[in-house]
Amino acid sequence: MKKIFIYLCLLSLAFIVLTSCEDYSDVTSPSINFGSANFSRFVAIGNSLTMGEQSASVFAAGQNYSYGNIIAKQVGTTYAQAFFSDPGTGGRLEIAQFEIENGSPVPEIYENPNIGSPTNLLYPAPYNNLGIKGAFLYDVLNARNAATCYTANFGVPNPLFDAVLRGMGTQLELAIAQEPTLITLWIGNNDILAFATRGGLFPPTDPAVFQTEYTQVLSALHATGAQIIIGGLPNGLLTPYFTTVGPGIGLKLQTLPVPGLVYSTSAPGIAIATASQLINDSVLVTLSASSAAGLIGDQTGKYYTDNGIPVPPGVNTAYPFGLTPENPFPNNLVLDPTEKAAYNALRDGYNQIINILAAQFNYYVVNWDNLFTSLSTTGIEFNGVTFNANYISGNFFSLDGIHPTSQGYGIIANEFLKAINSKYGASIPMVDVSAIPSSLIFEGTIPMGKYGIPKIPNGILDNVLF
Amino acid sequence: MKKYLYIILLILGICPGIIMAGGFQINEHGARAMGLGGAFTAIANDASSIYWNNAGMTQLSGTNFMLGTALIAPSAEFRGVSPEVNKNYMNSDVFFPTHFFVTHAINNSFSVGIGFTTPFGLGTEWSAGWVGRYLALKTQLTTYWIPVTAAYKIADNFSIGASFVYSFADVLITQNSSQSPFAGDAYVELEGNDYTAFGYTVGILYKPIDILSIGASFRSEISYDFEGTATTTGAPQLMEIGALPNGDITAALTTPMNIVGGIAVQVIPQLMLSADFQWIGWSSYDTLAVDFVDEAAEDVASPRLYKDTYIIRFGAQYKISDQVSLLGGVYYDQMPVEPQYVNPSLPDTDRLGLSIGAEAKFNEQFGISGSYLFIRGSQLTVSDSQEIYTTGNSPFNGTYNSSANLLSLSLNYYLQ
Repeated sequence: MKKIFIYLCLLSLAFIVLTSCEDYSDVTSPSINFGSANFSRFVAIGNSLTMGEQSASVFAAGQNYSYGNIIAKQVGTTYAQAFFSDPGTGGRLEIAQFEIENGSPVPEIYENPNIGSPTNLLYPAPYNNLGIKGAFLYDVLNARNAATCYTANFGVPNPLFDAVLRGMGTQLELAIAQEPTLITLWIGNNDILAFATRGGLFPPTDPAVFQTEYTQVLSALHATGAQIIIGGLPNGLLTPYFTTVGPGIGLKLQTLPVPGLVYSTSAPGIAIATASQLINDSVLVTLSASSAAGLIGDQTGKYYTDNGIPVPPGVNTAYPFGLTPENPFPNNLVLDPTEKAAYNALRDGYNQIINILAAQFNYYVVNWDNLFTSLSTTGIEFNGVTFNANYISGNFFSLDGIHPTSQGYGIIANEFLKAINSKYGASIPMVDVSAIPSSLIFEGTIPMGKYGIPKIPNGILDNVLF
Repeated sequence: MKKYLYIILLILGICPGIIMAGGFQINEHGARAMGLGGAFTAIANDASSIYWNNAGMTQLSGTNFMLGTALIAPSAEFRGVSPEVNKNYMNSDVFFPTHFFVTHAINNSFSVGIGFTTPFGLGTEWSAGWVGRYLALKTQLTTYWIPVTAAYKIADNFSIGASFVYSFADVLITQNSSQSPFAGDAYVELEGNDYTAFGYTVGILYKPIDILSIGASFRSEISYDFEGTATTTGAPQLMEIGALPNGDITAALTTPMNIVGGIAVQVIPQLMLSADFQWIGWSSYDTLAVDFVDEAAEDVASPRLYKDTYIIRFGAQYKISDQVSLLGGVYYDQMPVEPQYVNPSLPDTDRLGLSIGAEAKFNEQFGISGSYLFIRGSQLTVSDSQEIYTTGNSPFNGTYNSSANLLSLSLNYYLQ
């Protein structure tokens, strides 16, 4: 009996040892149906939207959620990028603090004065992500460095061309050199956006030139035999860059005995935007004007002294700023109905050029109009997270009002994935946008309503480009 | 004896890592009972009978002391979030719930006793920054029982017992919360305690024939009303405007009643076999709710919807000599929670417990018992989780594995 008991003990001991040390059963991820899509060498050509800019800067934490990198992670392919250490390429906007005005928090924006440095310069091949902040269509074909980029013609050489291209060639050449199997091409946004962000003062690319250049780019890429998904040009006027300050001014003017905002026009002269025109977005005021908006009625010329701008001829700063023909609101901060119409006509024309060329080559064009319209009206919902085009609280656009947040880029990545699924018979699952970390950064280091006019220091948003 | 100790040590060396019982009940109150797989209700012949079956106290003469502790080392792993299969390990931590019991036979038929033990508790901690951080970082709950007991022998073969239980408890829950749309996570710490909770237990023990013993025990629900504070730390900019919840909180928790029936058979003079069926009224735990005293703050409630469950236990005791006995046990413990409500703060699953132990009496007064229990949780794959791990509503689907090693040691002292 004693022996039997001992054997029983030993048996149960053996059982304990076996069960406790046994490996857990395997768990595997389901495999993805790629259809005919071939991600083995995935290259993205574009501007800041491709580079992964957020809050006016390109920095690694944001670049990790560039739409290309989100796609690459979802499909499991390599995607080298020109990373920048915190706070990135310079001028990153952060939230300094909130002030409570009329019971709701108003953010005060801080421009981080520091600049990070490139951390992946020695990568031995061209980057998969060939997006360069500030790139125009012209640059894809021609820019080899800061000195030869499009904005250099306007006296603004862009050093990011040096950081991304590293002297090896143009964006187009570096894309072709990688023998790409799948390309996303999303370029041309700046050719029209720069006109709008500068209140109609920056010349847009001529449509005939646009057509020639786009044809050259697409023909050269077509010759590689790669699959190409093209990004169309979204309506930048629906971003909070254009829709935040104007309504705020409108609400303020409603309470004053004035006809409206008096502003100078591109054709020399002045015009008046009524409060309701400002509230319903028929006259747009840029986010760059947020500090100027706080000076409406000022009779000391503070706007000009703060910004170090000479008082324009004919302006008398002793009159109330923005309320009198003698001291009008500056033209470069306002996009009036004429300029809006010009923007819309140009964008439609560019998109038509892109669509016709894409149809010739049988490429898919991602059209952003539904997404942007939904964002600016009903908002959209993904996995329980809601997004709309409101500044900050809308969750889609970052602090510069024009570039998406990390989650916003997730939604953009999903639009590209939908295009790939539809075009190439794939069924790649959508990225869980709600699992992407929120990305509006606080200076130094929960649900809220729509904000008032944010307090943004003078000048920091004057040169926004995609 | 040395041989067995050697084997025990060997097992400990090979298989590092452990868990508690289903839900957050702790069933380790005395090394001897643990060695028998907890099938002790019909035996209850040491001072720990105060917990297991207070009617059993009448079997003890004189004054009996038991002081001991269990070493509980749980481990758990989560693979996910589906479709990903990344491995996340629970931080390894060791818990030492202590037990202390005294019984005193006033006369042949009447005994009194008092004890101290921790019948419910849990302690889990996951790494900072892990994927489930919005669900759980560190979670600690401990309930302490001080039962004051009396037992009466109605007939030579029939006893009853009853305890009044004074209980106190403390709880700590920490997790991250999103500062969406702003970058970074806030850190939430909820802590609370309740120093005045009460319950009771009753037991009966019946020996129809010499070799057969039947026992039953009832342990009541105990309701705790935790009072404490919530502290949320995050971006100073958000704290300045009071956007992060802080303040006094209350939370209610009711630990379940237990109804246990057991049987023990003296098969031969050396060998006793025992079996228990333990029913646990876990349906008392339907919601984990934290209420802010400040009306403006948003209360938190997450459904748990536990269901009543059971444990089946078997034990064997073999007497090698008058001084030394060997113990062995096995039990099956059914999980009380539906898989979709499993939360990493308590990675619950069906569990199998296997125990071995030994008991030695050095002299008339002094004895020691030690036992080892290995608990293997069955692999649990959750595919319809109601637990949300993102700023949206993404389910925390994935695969849990868990196990636990427990070691218990009790010292017994007997005064005539």
